Amino acid sequence: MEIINIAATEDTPKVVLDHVNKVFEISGRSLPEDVVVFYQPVIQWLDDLEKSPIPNLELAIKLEYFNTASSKLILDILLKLEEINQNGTPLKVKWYYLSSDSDMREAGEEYSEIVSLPFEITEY
Amino acid sequence: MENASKKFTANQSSLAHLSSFHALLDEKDIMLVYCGEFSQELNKTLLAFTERKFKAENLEDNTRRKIFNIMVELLQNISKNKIENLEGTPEVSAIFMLGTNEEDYILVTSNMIRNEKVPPLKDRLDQVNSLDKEGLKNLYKDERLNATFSETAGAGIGIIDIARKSEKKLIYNFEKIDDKFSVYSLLIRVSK
Amino acid sequence: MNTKAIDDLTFVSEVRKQMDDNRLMLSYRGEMSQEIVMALLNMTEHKLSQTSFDTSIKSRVFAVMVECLQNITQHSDKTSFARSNMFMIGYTDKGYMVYSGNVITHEKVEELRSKITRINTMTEEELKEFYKFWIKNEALSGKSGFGLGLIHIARKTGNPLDFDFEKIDDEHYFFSLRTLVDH
Repeated sequence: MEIINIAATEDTPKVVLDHVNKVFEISGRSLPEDVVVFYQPVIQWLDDLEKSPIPNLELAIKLEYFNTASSKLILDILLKLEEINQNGTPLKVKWYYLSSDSDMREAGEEYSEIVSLPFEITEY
Repeated sequence: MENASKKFTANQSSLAHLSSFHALLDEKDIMLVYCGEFSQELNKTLLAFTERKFKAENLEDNTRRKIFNIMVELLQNISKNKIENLEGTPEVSAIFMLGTNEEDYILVTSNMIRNEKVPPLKDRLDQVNSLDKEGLKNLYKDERLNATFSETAGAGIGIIDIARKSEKKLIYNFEKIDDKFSVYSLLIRVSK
Repeated sequence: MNTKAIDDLTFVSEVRKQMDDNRLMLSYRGEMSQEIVMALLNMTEHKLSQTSFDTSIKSRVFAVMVECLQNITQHSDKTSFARSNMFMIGYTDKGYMVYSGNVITHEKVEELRSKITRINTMTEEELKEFYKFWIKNEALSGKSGFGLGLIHIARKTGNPLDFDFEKIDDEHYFFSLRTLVDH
């Protein structure tokens, strides 16, 4: 499995997918011009994960903001995880929201309604 | 208007009405208009905007530097000369505009100033417009040596500096509001 | 020696009047790109950070701006009409007004009109369901553009989308959108 470590920029999030150190995180702001291009490595990584699943993986999603184009990709990520989970690998998504950001909490709740996988919505 | 007017007050202009504003901006090659309060922080964001805008346009370093320096002077002049909003003071919003056409970059500022500042400022502008490159260079050196910090020395050497960088005539206008205040507008051009 | 018409500064007071009448703070007209979008966002973010409004209104203005401006970046005419893209933001006692405008080709008009009209008639619940439907089904490179974005704007603001199509010529229309982000 590849290790992905992308630093945050003003319009793209930090992405860490590190199976060695067991850190799986997407955080910051997501409003790239081309979401498909930006998230391609993540989608690729998930395809690899499907072939060699990591049990008890916890993906932390801690976003300040994401545009609607990103929301589609986030759904794609969650759907891939859903599939891996439904094939027998236990895993979990932890959706974080800033306590003053009820919109982000609601976004998390909506995703948990659309996909079926263990989903924890946590304030920070 | 399509469906939504109920939510907006009667004073809201229709979207179609704004097209006359667009046409005006188009006609005068204006790209950016900021209207409101100016502060050190705000000025920084305007500069940052201009920097990013020009990044895409591959300006020569020289031109870019000139525009920034002129902008800094212009913006600082507005924030320094802010008139306290006391009772009876006319409310005239300060404006900064940035424009571009085939030949030039255009910078415009417009803000309220006290009438007593008008004559020395006008003199300074006329003086600067009457000089050639050499003349401006000498004037700048003289002023630098005899730096006067009095407020009535017009805009100090800022105007000379702007004229030197612009290399074109400074276009200005004073519009009297009342016996205390006027609106001072200034247009600077920088060749591409 | 300059002989261009712009030597007359009377347009400055006209611009001031327009900005004041429409309660505008910022107006941008020109090419749109991710760079410009970020620059406009940063300027507005800064301006908003000086106010005492809670983060909710600021983040909603931000969200509306992103959707409008990125939509222009992706779907507007990049040739002769590239300079006609408009973004304006104003502040009235009702809240922030976000305006965006760009030239579109005539075949996009009806679809866009019906999309917005439909969104304007929906309740909060209906918009939520519509959003969930679209996010699952919309191909990212939808030709009509603005699929999820408009729904998102409507949900974020809770206000109807005010829009207009102005004919430029047989092929082109200027589409403008005004959104109120209220307190």
